[in-house]
Amino acid sequence: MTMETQKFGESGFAEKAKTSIAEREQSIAYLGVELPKGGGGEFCPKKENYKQYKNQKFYLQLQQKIATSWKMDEPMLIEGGTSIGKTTTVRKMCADLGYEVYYTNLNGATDVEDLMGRYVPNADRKNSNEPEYKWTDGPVTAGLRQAGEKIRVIILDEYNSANPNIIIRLHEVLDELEKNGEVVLAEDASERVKVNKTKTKIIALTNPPGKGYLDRQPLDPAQLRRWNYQKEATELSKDTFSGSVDMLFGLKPEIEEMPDEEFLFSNDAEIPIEELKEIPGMKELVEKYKEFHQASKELLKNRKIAQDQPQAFTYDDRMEPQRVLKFIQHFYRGDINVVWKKALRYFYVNKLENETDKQKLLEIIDAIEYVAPVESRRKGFEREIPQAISEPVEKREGLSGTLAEQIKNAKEILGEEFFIGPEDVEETFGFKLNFKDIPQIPFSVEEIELHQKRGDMLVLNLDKTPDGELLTIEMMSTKAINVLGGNIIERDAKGDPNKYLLYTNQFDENGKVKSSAWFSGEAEISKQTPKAGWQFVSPEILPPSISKDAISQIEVLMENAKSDFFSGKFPVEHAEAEKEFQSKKDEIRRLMSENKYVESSKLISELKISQLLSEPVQNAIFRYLVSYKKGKQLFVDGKYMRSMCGASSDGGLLLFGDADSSGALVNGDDPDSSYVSLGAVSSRF
Amino acid sequence: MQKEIQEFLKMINGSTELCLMIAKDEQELLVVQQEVGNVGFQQSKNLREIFNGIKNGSKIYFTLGDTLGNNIYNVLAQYSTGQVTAHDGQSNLVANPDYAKGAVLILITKENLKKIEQGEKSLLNLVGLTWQK
Repeated sequence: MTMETQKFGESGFAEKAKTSIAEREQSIAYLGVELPKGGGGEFCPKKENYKQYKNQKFYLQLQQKIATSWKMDEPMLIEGGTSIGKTTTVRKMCADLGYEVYYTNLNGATDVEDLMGRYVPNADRKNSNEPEYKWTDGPVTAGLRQAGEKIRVIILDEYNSANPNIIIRLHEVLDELEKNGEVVLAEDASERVKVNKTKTKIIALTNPPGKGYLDRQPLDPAQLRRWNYQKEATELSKDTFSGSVDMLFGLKPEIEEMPDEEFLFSNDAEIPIEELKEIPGMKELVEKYKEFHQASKELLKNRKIAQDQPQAFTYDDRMEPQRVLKFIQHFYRGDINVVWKKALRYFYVNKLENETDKQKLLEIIDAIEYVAPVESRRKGFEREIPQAISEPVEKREGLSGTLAEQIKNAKEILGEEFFIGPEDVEETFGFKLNFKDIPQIPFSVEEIELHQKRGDMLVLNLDKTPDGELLTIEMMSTKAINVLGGNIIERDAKGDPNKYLLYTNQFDENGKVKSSAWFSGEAEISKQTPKAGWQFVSPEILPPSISKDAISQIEVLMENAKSDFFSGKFPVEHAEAEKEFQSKKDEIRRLMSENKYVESSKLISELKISQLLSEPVQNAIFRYLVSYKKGKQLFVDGKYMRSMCGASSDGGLLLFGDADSSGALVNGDDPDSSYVSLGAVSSRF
Repeated sequence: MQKEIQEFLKMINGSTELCLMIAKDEQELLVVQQEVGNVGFQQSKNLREIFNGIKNGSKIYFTLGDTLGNNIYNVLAQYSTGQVTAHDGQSNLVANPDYAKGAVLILITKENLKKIEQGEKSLLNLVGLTWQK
């Protein structure tokens, strides 16, 4: 089907979050980026001509990029190989949205009049009183004219084949469009055409200069600055090709489901600058952005990136900040770090073709993170608090030697069964780690020996794949189950399923989170990743923590840590966290007694002590999967671990465990619930 | 050759791309033209006829010489994208190909194809199924 879309309700944000292309009555969202429908018209492509269009990952991302540019009213220039489907994708989106298309191919076009229009003999002239010549719009002028609700897209194909006089004229058009001004038709007695960038979108398409496109000359980098320049592949990757072929043969659904982190949700309107500057962290991130911009320019200038790209470009000092600002105004939805990272990916990383080059910028972008002060409770901090607390206050003395030596030593002390290292992670998830991305083991020999005596395990946690994809619950489960060959881990004598790894009501055979799973629409759960780094954790729940509410379980964790890890005295960071806990404990208990679970769970999950001593549920799932691959299944005794640092929207603290025959599950329960199968695990990063 | 051509013409039904037939010389080109005419393809002699053929969902063929003009290129380049627009000197025109019913076949001699490919525009980049003996 051409429009393989799913409808979502007006208030169905959660449903919308799961639908790669979501159609509403008045709009369509492409991986979250929502565009208004246009009024159709004669020049609107017909939907039936896109029945064979496959909404595979590459094409969904391409549509999202285009939608993002249109959302921001930015003229866009896409450079990519001739057969990757640039024009078809634009037209397919116009068919979806009811936008009219005005197309012109600049390969060989010599006259500005071909684009803007000209006087032609009046074929309708009936007598000498009627004009001998009449004006006829070219495709660009026709696309610029406003007509009620119609939205028009001007496609300038093979843009880098255009003659200089045409490019100059088009720049005049772009400048007027940017300020919603008037395009003066010098070709038509200086007629002034009022233009509006919300009604006219301009998209230029080019093939890469050189590389088999011999007549294509590189554009002057200065010409590119007017455009939101996006570099696409010269040819489709093997994965894209393979995925599209699978879809063509009906072996895969015609719309690929995408992980939540691929979505980019837009606001209905731009956030005013006055509001934006009040967002906590904005000032700090602006400072970091300035450094990032300069660093990116240096990399480009020194040919450390984009060395192989024949089309030179710049990171423009004036345009890039403006575009980044506009992006944030359109797409900030409560997580300041995420929106900044996505903006920088969109405008900086997407100009690069080579994966290694992209990775260089992504590494810098990863470091652009606002860490909020712990005591703050202001909006937009929710995600940052765990990060802030994860930063060690006191410098720790880790193992000596190279990382390989550290791993060898730790494994020798702890034993194979209680050590989850890089090899185990690779075998579980089926990817190859970059050794340089693996942190040093921050624990001393004495500390490792202490944990060995307790029966703790040391786990190397990741928060993303080597390709930079976030290791969300679904990413972990799909990758691990892909390696295992399915969710069924045991069969009976007849070959029927006897046991599953993950709960069948929540995960499908491929490990994808089912839409019916209670947490699938909970962005704060499904989008979160394990806390990265080396972690000591008790493999199963601590016996003293069972049959206790969350507050009492925190007390158990504190006592356990204080006596076992720190010889009876907390270091400064933990001592401060304990103080905070004591100061808030009564308030939390009061809220719990009044059944105010949303508030109480939020307070618990924001406690510094929760972040320090309780294991996030994503980490529990991570080590459950790796442990199983290593030969040991955790949580098989019907018990759940309760995480104090994650809550559901209805006020439940998150649980994981109960790996019975139908598989381990993610659950949630009120913070005052206490039963014999519910406990806490000790965790130390 | 007649059978080969007919087999090829059966294959192009439903194609969303332009199809190309390369004749080894002018003599073979005449044979090919006759064969495609025999199975119901209508000859288009200019841009307007190509455009109308696409618009009407007809099966058409067009014989290219040794140049690929801007206007023809503009139309051919769009065929597989689901919509074709053009300016006929009087106004902007639009056609939506009916891939199930219609088809567009380009006929050319080997020599002329070579000349075109040596120029600025590539015909081979625009076409899908291709026949030559």
